[in-house]
Formats: sequence, C-alpha cells, structure tokens
Amino acid sequence: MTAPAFDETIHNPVRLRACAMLAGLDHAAFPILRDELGVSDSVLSKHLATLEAAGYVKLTKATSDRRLRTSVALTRKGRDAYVAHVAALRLIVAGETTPSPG
Amino acid sequence: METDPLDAQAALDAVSAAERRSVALVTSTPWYAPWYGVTSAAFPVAIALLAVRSPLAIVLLVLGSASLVLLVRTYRRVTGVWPSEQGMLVYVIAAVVVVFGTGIASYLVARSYGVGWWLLAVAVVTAVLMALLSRGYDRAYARKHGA
Repeated sequence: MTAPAFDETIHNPVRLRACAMLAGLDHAAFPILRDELGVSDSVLSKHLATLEAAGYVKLTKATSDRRLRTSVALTRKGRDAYVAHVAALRLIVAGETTPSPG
Repeated sequence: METDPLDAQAALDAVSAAERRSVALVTSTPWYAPWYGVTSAAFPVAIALLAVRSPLAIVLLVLGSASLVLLVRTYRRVTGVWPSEQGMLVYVIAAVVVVFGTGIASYLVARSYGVGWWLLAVAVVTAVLMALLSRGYDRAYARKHGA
C-alpha cells in the first residue's frame, strides 16, 4: 500500500484531474483529455509536459489514418504518486498532517 | 504549500468527478458487448469445423480475428481511451476459459459425431456468455473506479 504523500506537481487542479482520469485507464487520446478537462491544447500540453518531466506520464505519438495522434498514459511512478497524493488529501480532510515526498 | 481541509475536500471532489467521467467513457459503448459476443462465438465454431476439416473453419478464424481487431480499433476511435486491465484479470481469464472450453468441447463432439445444428447452439451460448462477461467487466470496472 502506498504511503500518503502530498505532491505539489500533481496538486495543480488541471494536473490532478488529468491524473484522476488516467488512473483507471491504460491510456487516453489527447483530444479526449483536453475536452474532458475543458482546457485548450496549449494549456493541456503545458501541464502534460510538467507531468512528463516528473516522470508521471508518458506521451506516445502514432500515425493513424494519416493523422498524428497523441495518447497519454500514467507511468507506474505517476500512478503511485497520484495514489499517495489522494491518500494525503484524505488525511488533510480528516485533520491529520501529511509528509511531502523527498 | 499549506492545504486546508476545504481545499483538500474540493480537490477530492474533483478527483471523484474525473474518475466518474473516466468510467463513463470506458462504459459508454452499448454496442461493444454484443459485437464482442458474436465475434467470440466464431472461434469455438471454427475449432469444431477444424475437426471435420471444413474449409469454412479458416474463413471463420480469419473473419473472427478481423472482427476482433476492428472492434478494438472502433472502440478506441469512438471513446479515445482504453481501460486499465489492473485488477480485471479474472474477466480476461474467464473469457479465455469460455472460448477455449466451448471450442475444445465442440472439437471433441464434432470429431466423434460430426457437425450439425448443435453448433448453432454452441455459437449462441458462447455469444451470450461473452456478451454477459463484457457487461460484467463494465460493472466491475465502474465499481473498482468509484462510479
């Protein structure tokens, strides 16, 4: 079981919702994620770049029907960090303090 | 950064809403289960036909495989997602058991008695079982991911 750990990288509202959507998925197409989160291409790209730099998501580009399609998946590290962050949020709601990672 | 309980609760609410949307996307395809069921039924029938060396067996295997590939591609194109298999292994194993179980049983019966109308019953039973398994997968997935 993952220990609770508050994660500033994930806590941003867009990144948190992106991680929450990806947590139950093997992967999601970039346009689906953008539409579900209600943000622009550039905003989502920026947030995904942050998550990718932290090693939390993996972006895969593939050509299908002559179009370049990007899909996004949580990495194992990202999944663990997300689970730990949600556990930390639950502790905060319960009135307990949580450790930050690192 | 300090996060107060209200902020944390708002974040948890956003998490729940996003997880529910994710589940809704995964289970938003009512056509998936019947298509999956009918496609899966092709395999035990083809295996039974192999027992009597019918050339139709190869045709069914090719059609079944093509339909399966098309089903997955269509699902991915329509939903834009693919569900995580984590914790869902029991449904994958059950699907393999149904297809190979009915396939092997049909093969043995066909080798001893030849093929007949009973093969239609095998196809229907397999299709229904696999469609029910697909629906069961959706329900279990929704439960697991909090929808």
